Parts: sequence; C-alpha cells; structure tokens
Amino acid sequence: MACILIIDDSAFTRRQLKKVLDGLDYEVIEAGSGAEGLLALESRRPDCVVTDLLMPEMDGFGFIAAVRQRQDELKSVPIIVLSADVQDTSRSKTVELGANGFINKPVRADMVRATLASTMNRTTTLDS
Amino acid sequence: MTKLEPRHRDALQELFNIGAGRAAAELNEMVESPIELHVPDIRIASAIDRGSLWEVQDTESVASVQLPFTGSFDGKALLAFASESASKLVSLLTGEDVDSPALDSLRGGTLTEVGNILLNSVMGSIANVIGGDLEYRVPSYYEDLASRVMSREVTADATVIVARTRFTVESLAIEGDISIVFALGAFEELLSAIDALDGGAAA
Repeated sequence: MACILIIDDSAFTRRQLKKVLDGLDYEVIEAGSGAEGLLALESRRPDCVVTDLLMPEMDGFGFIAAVRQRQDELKSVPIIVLSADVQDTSRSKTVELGANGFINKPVRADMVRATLASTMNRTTTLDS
Repeated sequence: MTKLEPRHRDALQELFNIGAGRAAAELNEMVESPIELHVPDIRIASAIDRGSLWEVQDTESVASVQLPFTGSFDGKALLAFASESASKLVSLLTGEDVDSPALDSLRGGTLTEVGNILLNSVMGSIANVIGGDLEYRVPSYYEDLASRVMSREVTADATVIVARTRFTVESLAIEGDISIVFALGAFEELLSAIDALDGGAAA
C-alpha cells in the first residue's frame, strides 16, 4: 500500500484529505507543520508528500526547499502542494523550488486522485 | 485622501467582484449550495464609522477570521459571520449536529480554514489581475462582540479603505461578510497598479 505524508496546520483539512486518501487505499501519515514534516520524512520515506504552503514555524516553501537541498534519497520524494493560495506567483515559486504538482483548496477527491496518480506514475517512470 | 475617484472606485469594485466570485465558487464547492453575492461596497472609513465593516449590531457576537498580507500592497482581509451562521456552517462542514458538544472543539479550526480558503481566493485573484505578489501571515480566528472586533481591527487613529461584500448560502440561511482593510499609505500602491492596468497615471 502506497504511503502519503500530509502536511497541514489545519486539522480540518487533514481530516478532509485523509478521508479521500483512505478511500483510495493509501496509508496516511500526518504532520502539522513543515518542521514536523521533515521529521516524519526522516523516520519513513513516503511515496508522496502533500503539503500546504502557509503554516507556522516552517512553511511549505521552506519544506520543499529543505527536501530538494538534501543529499540523500529523500531529495527526490514527489511533492504535491495543496494550498488556498490562488496566486500565479506562488504556484510558479513552488515549481521553481521543485514541487511536482499543485492543487488549490478546498479538497476535491477527483483532483487529489488524478494529481497523485499522475505525479507518482511520472516519478516512478523517471526513477526506472 | 478623503474620497475615491469614480474610476478608482469602479476598478476596485470590479477587482473585488472578481475576487469575491472566486471565493463564492470555493464556498459553493464546500457547502454544495448556491451562493448569493451582494454588490460590493467600497468606502473610506474611520474607527467611528462602525457600519463600514459588518451589518451586525455592536452587541451581536461575531466569529471572525483575519488574514494579514504584505507585498504589492499591505492590509488585512477579514471574514465574519454572526455566531449563529458560524455554527450552521461548521455543522454543515463537519457533519456534527449544531447542538453537539463536539462542535465547539471543531469550530475554531474549521472556520479558520474556511476563512483561509475564501480570503486567499479574494486576495489572490486581485493580485493575479494586477500582476502583484502578496505574502500572507497565518490566519487568526476569534469570536467577540462586533464592537470589540471592529475596534481591534480598525484602531482609533486609523482611516482605512474598506471593501466589503455580503454573501448568503441561500438554502441554509448562512450569511457572512468579507472585508479588506487597507492602510491609506499602502492603498496608493494598489491605485498605481490599477492606473497601470488602465494605461494612465493617477491624478
């Protein structure tokens, strides 16, 4: 069963997203900030990360940058952004930092499913 | 500045319309019910002009989410519900009964995230139209009497531009207000961006 790490300071959004991911038969690990997300990543490599942007302590931009600057296998973990920020500049910035996908909130099951599937398929193909 | 030029008022109304329209679409997705938007109201307000922020009595309790922003222009976006509407919305989104004890513990987090989504929709849409870039602070939530919330958001010596629209979740009798509070100095930058879109300079 594929494992997804979800990072969001909103318990409401984590519940919504977990409900969708449970329905898709993903195993879910949760973190409430970018800093917690980095710790979770180091204890177990997920198949994909879904992260918010605007969070206290370390935000999503900081998390993506920290992961892509690593020198180990965790550097290439697929990252999808799930954010309320609709600005084109924010979306561009996540791409420049190395995110693999971007979904706007609120959580939509069809968008989550499609984006996860295409992101994980694409990165699996590249790895092989 | 004591009054807005008509062309600036028109442009602000349209920008706010675009942003509020996006927010209404997001809210519609969340509650699965049509959203009615009222015509936006744009005005310069001072701390004593209490009617500028929300259509509630000073002594009524409101649930409010604030999203501060900086960048191309500085200010704060506000979402407010009368307490009863807030309870209905949280009940709808969480599946908990309005009278359930569990609702209280879910209330703040749920409303904060709703505010985050809707206010980001408004501000981000405006930023996209004018080619701007905003940075946000983490949104905050509190409930209090409307008069105390207003005096907290609009300090005694402040004069601010208030853009406000009311929205209604038609079938569910849920009403709320979205407001943007700009400090006057920051507001000039937004007007410059509007003028640039128009292809002319501010008078």
